[in-house]
Amino acid sequence: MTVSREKLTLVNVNPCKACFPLGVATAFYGLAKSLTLLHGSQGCSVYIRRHMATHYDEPVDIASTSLTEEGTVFGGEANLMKGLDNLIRLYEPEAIGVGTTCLAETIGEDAVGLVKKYQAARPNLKTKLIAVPSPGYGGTQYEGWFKGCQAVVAALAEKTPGHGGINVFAPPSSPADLRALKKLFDESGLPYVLFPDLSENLDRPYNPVYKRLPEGGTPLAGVKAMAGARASLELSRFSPTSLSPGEFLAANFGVPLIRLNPPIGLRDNDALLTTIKDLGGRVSPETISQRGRYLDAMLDAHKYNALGRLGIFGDPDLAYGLTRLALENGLSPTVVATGGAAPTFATTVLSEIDPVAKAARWSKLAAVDEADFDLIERLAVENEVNLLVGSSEGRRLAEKRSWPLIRLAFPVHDRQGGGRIRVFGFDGAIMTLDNLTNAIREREETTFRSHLKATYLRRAAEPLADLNFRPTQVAAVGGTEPSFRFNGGPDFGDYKGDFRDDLKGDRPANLKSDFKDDAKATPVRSLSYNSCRQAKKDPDPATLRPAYGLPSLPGPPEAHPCFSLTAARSFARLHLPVARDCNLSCGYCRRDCDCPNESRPGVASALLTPDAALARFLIVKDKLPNLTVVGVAGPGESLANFAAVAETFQLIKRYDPKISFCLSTNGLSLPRYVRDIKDLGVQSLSITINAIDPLVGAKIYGSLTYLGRTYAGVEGASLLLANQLGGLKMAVDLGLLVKVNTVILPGLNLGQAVKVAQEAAALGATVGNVMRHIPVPNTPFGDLPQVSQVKLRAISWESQAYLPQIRHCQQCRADAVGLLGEDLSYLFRPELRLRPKEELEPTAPLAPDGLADPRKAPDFPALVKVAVVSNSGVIVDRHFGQATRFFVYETDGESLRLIANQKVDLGPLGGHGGGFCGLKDALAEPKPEGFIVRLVAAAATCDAVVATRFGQSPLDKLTARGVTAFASYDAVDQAVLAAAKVVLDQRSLAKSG
Amino acid sequence: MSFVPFDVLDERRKSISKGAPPACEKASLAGAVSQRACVFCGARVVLNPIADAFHLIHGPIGCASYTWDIRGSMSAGSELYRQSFCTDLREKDVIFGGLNKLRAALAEIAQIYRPKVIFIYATCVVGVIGDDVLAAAREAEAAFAIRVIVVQAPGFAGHKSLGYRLAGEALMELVRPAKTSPKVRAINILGDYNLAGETWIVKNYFQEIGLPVLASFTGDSQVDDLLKAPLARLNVVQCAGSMTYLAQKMEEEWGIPWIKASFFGVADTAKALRETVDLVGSKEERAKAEALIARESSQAQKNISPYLPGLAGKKAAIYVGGGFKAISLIRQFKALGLTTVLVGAQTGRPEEYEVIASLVDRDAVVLDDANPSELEAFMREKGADVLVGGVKERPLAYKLGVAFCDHNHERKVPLAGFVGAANFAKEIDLTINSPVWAHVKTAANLDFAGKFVG
Repeated sequence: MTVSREKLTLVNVNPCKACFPLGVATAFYGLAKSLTLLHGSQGCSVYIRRHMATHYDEPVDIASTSLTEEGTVFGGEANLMKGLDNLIRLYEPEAIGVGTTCLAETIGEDAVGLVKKYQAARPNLKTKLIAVPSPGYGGTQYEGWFKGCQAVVAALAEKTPGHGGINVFAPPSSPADLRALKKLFDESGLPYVLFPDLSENLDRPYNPVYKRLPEGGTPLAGVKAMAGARASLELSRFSPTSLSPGEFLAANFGVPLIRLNPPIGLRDNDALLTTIKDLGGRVSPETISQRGRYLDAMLDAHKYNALGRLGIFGDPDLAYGLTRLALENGLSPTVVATGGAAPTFATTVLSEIDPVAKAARWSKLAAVDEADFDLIERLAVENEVNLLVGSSEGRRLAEKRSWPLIRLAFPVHDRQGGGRIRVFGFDGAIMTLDNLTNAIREREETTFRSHLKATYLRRAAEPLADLNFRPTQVAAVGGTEPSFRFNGGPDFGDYKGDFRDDLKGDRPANLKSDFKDDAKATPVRSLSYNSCRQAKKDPDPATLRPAYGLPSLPGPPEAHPCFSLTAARSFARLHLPVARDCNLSCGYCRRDCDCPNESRPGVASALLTPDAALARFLIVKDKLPNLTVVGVAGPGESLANFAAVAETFQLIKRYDPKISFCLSTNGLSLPRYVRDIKDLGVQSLSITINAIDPLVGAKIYGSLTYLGRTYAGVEGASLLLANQLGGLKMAVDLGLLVKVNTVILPGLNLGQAVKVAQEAAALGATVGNVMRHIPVPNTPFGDLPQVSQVKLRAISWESQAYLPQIRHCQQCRADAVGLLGEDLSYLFRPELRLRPKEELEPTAPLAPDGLADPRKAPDFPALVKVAVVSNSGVIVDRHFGQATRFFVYETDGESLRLIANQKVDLGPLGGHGGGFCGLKDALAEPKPEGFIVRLVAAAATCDAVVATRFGQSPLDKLTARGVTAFASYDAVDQAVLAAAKVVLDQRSLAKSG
Repeated sequence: MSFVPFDVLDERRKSISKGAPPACEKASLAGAVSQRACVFCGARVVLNPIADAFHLIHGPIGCASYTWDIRGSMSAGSELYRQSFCTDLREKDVIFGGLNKLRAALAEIAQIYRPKVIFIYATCVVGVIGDDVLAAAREAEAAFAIRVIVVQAPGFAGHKSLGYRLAGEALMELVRPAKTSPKVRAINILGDYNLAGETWIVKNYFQEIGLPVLASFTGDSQVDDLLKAPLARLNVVQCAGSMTYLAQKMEEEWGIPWIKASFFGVADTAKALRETVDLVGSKEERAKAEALIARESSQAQKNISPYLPGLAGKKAAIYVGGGFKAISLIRQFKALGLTTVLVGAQTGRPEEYEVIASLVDRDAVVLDDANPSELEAFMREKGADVLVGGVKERPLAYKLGVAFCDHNHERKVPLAGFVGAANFAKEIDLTINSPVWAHVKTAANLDFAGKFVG
């Protein structure tokens, strides 16, 4: 597949090329004692010098005629003459390349004529002057190099009697590679002239006596003799005939031209050695053993290389050579690009790749010329590149995408040793291969543990006894010392004030005004979602996941609890409830604030302002060093409150640049904000997509508000869907990790989840997550029964075929804090009246038979017994299904006391979620047989049971046994009293009725 | 010295002097290998740090390639300015005109990026082929309701200094529509490009003192901040070379007085803060400034003093962009115990060279718009131990066995403010006292026949 450049953009965005005169000046550095005078504005030579000096770490002197306005209007002759005078005087060069620039060519300066005129006036001039018309718009530095070579050959070569020598023309190459080439020819015993020879001039040995002009380079006499050579070898596949020095000698002096690929990799080095042999030369034993070592290295590295998907960019010859090297080593060059116009480049490169790709069954690849980095990035994302190879100009892309960049092309501005890059020869091939393989190995070595854990580890049910030794187990339950201060909660227990005030002592006095000054208005951009939706309609199943084992994902999933089960066990997150408004009404949702009794999205205790959110972040970060992710997940829609979200994240970033940000969104406004989200440093998103079919969507959603208009029904659902998918694609293109949530609503969208996964995978989502709806009273779906666990599991696995699924979702609150299964948000809810932890010890333990309750008899009618499902013992913080023990309270409706801390016998296979955070791949395997029955039986000795949530089946079972199920997220005391009130009301109702 | 005539071109002689101001503000000499760049470069340097502006180069690709994100200006917000956008004119555009390409590009940019302002830098070719860039800009402004400002910066129109002026004009054009009264008790900072976060350092000082900074030209600036600039009471001009013109225009049009204020070195930073609060600060703010100066300069001195023994008596060479910075550097070197033996600038002004001449020894070389041959000859003649300069001079210094300090736009260590003064001492120390010099110089004299020839 070749990509047409035009349709992507009209502007070159981040150029992957430099200009023509740079190539000319570089070529002249390979001619002995010569330099370049550029006829034009002085900026050209200064910029080119800077570009070269930082790559080679060598002084680079390129003169300018410093054309001025006057020269531009009346001709630059005087400047050119003066420039030559001065340059000859200062440097005494043997030759000067008189190059031109955009300016000189556009105003019609005749460099050739002017140079002739200069020479004519100075018959004794020793310096050879070589005019090279070289407008910057005439091509890239690649063409400039050949143009410079050809101009030198044309100016110097003279008809001489035939000799046995060989001409060797190199493509743009590093000085070190040219040294290697020289060594090869020295050893061959063939007389040869290599041009241009940068080897000693742009990688000079230190010499206490500094010479303004370097001493190396091809002697002028050598070039002069080229016309009589036996043959020319031009090590370039793409040098245009019109600029090729070899073609020039062939046409003008009849020197046979042998064109070879540059000696990169096995086949092209072999071709060069074969040619040398054919010409009567020798191949040294050292080269032969190097060759053997390269073959050995190929074998040693091939398995690692199979994981590499390369994005190669650079001059056509280098990019092509590296592509061939990659292919022979089992690396997959899925994007190969060059910055300049090279008409045969894409087809030539693809003809190399296609057969290999076909055989290896990878289909995603692109080769393109005239590429800028904007295009290279798009292609690299699309074709799942995981390693870049090229110049340091790719460093911003590498940084942005967390792809390693192997610097093998000019220029290298951010590393040492630009002049010592090695690619040519077998030793160059070995070094290149080692560099590439090691980048792949480094990635593998540093990620395979987390990757394997996240992919395959399914924790078996935890033996109960083990619970006590978990480090964060609550003291009251396990009897061990709490290892972290939150457990008891007293630090914040009776906290009632504004958190910001509390912080005053800890932060600089001027912090407050500081916020105001730097809060910047967030620009609003809108983008047409249609243009962004380039979904592949029928994705090839083979392309749904990376073709090879390593996903080309940046780091965050390893540290994001919602993206990885492993991360969920060790990393904490903080939800900041800063999003008040919503732009979409979902049938299963009711937004609540000041609602302490529920744990689900849409609920938060209080909204926070950005300043207050920062304050909360600072407190939490201080207490939870494992806090890695800050997210906004409501209680409204994060993007309907974008200003608040943006301000919040900016504030936090100033204090902790390492924290990663996450957003939950319904996707409606995603196309509009996705760039801003990226700019804010958000690394991951959760988009809730409940339907692919707008007719289904219309049943799930009420109305939505978009750009000031209200939509409903199919129209609204269609708009929502288009924005969700368009936004998803844009987010992925921008490098964000995207989780797609689907809320399963029985009878409505059961068939949609798999379609969502399919579509989301095609657009590049990272993971999916199907979940049950939480029936909320007084909502359209308040009475809709939840889908069964069995069915949910089936849907999850069906979706997995397209998109990896997470199965540990806790459907957190909008102000959740801490580990995924260990919500600590109650500590930030001053309205809760929390008990000191010493009160958590049962005051009157029951008899050993535990649940037998003598008082549940007619003579104790006023007392109510309530079982509480709680991990902390301080608040209700567990689903009923996660219970491994009950805190059993006895209450008369006004006062209460804890009478048991009761372990539940869950049967031989244990329970479902009793671990310290209750986290596991919940749908990975069927639940132990009958444990719910045992749980219900245990709870049935009480009048009521309190938990954060109840599944449909236990709810039915409890109800059948006359136990009141009471969902709460409150402090235990409050919840018990509230539950007791319900029971007592029922009793009095029953009495009176 | 005997080799001097050989290394200095006749026309350059007046630009080089000893202990006296050289001739300056002249066009660069053809063939002299000037270190200074063109008009486009000057304009691009000044404007590019405006982070949320869209900087579009209208011309062939070279100018865009060589200026893509090469400077260390930091932004707290948008990163748009770190992209390189170019119309990438080709041969056929040069023949048939590049205007249609520009028009289409502007439409695309306006629709996709919706930037607050687009700066179009028209380079050499456009200056010659006569594209009516202004008309295209007005058209785009009308069609898309955004600002489009044209910077006619063909390289040949002069050297870097003119580019600074053109950037000043562009900034005036940008800010002119903003309201200019009532004035508030606040300042603008001009000529600080937030290299390695230096603008932030300076802003922190003013924040502590209690003087609000309205706009910073152009380090870490966003368009909206710049629009507040006319309301300031005082412009504090840090890089005088690039911003004097803008300061003059702002005084002329909006009556904002300005001072030159260097934040390089402990003494100059203290002076800059004092002068600023003297002009616009209250009594209370002056007291705060004094407290800050006392605290920070004693801390800086504490950090600097360990380096002093290793630096005493060394000889420094300075070759930087502007004369005003060179003045600060001479003072800084003096404070560290180094003697400045060579000093020059790409775009120094006569009054700056007078100050320079008054600060250096009688036989110190002072030169304007120097080239590598001159730097080489005079660094050798004066026996310089360290050169402070730009990227292009670095390899030359090393080849000559001279230590080097990056005081250029690529630096990643802040050198401004009190903290920068201490960093500077450290930077000089780590290069001048590196063990490599002794090893390399000795090793280079090892003759493998078995004896030392040095």
